[in-house]
Amino acid sequence: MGLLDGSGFSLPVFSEVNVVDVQIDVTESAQLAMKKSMEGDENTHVLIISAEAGGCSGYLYDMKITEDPKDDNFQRIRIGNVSILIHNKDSSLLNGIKLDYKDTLMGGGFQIENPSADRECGCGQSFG
Amino acid sequence: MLNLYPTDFYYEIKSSYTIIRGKDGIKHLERVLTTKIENIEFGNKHESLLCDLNGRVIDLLTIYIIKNELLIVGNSIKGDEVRRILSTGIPWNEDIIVLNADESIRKVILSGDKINRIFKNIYDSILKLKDFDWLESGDNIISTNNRHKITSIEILMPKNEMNIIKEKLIENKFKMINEKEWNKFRIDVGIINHKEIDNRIPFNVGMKELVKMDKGCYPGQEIHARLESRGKLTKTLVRLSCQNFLKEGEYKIDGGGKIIITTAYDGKGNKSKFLGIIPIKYVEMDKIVLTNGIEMVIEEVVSFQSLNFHR
Repeated sequence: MGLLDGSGFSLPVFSEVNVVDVQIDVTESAQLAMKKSMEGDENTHVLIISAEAGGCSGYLYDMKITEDPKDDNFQRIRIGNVSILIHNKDSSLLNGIKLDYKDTLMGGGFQIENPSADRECGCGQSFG
Repeated sequence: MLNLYPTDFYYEIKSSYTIIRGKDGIKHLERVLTTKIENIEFGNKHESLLCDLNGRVIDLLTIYIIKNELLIVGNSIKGDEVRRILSTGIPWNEDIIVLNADESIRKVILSGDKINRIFKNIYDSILKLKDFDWLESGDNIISTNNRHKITSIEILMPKNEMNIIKEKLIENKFKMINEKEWNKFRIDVGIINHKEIDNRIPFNVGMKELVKMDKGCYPGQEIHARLESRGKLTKTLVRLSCQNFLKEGEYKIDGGGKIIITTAYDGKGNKSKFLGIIPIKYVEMDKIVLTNGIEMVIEEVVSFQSLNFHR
């Protein structure tokens, strides 16, 4: 036995999640960049856009190209041959985002504009 | 210092207890706390601040690394808020479960020269403990605090063992002190608690050591970076004494600005003692005079001495 092995802890704490049908806008340059990044793996891989705690403004964006998790908790948005997945728990935070791609040496890469964010950090990776 | 108190005393500190289970717990905390926590190991304890987006302190947290779990001890009235924040924004692919252990764990601080009687078999091990370590004895977690003028021992225990420990302490002539006596102890030795820091900017209340500007983003970091880059403190936390007693609150200073008394101890005829936040311009002075004519002696600047950096 140890201090944390006993009984009496409450059930896990969950924050209430408002699930909405996600709509996102992907610019032409972002579509091209996604296609290039997928390098022909469009049938097996997906782009997951998510939000996690942290950053100056409370949440951080994260983007990953990964094998399709085939999980019903994700909403699937098809852009050309590429599937973009957003988890239900992030749906209210990410609904309405515009995904863009800037081909510049400084501050380039994928950019997210989020109309529902009340505040955004100067680096563009954090919102709240 | 010891003769100001019962020689051997204990105090039950009301706290909140949160457990984080799952292999990604440390990674999750790293994203939201003001200090670097990634490299701490099993058997360590770590202190950090959780701040809001405006850089103000929500809670001072002590984190115990226990195998694959993290025990987070904070202020009793902030537990639900801390757990709400920690259970929000958990990435979809991370293994993190937040549990409420408020009804399961209790914390006692004790001090005095008969501590060896309480911990007969492990006293030598306790003496060897560094402030950032803890040891397990039965179901209890024991750690020491040598940062202040008096060494104290902290015991975390299952709630149902509280009475057994209390009986043992009473048997060995330890006296339970009340909140008023605890506050006097805090003022004398410079222990900063929630009363000083709640909803305040860390730099204004002696908490600079727990704000790591080289760790990257966390909620409130942009505000902290801006304040730090200005390089100018506007307020500071001090210990004061006075022949009069003043209740906790705000008072105007003759000369401009105000003092916020965060903790007050009524000396009842003797000197009363206080922790208070004053404008930095008064810090080099011996005393401040309030607009009502009361003089308060500035004894010492009080700063949080973090155990994280004692290695």
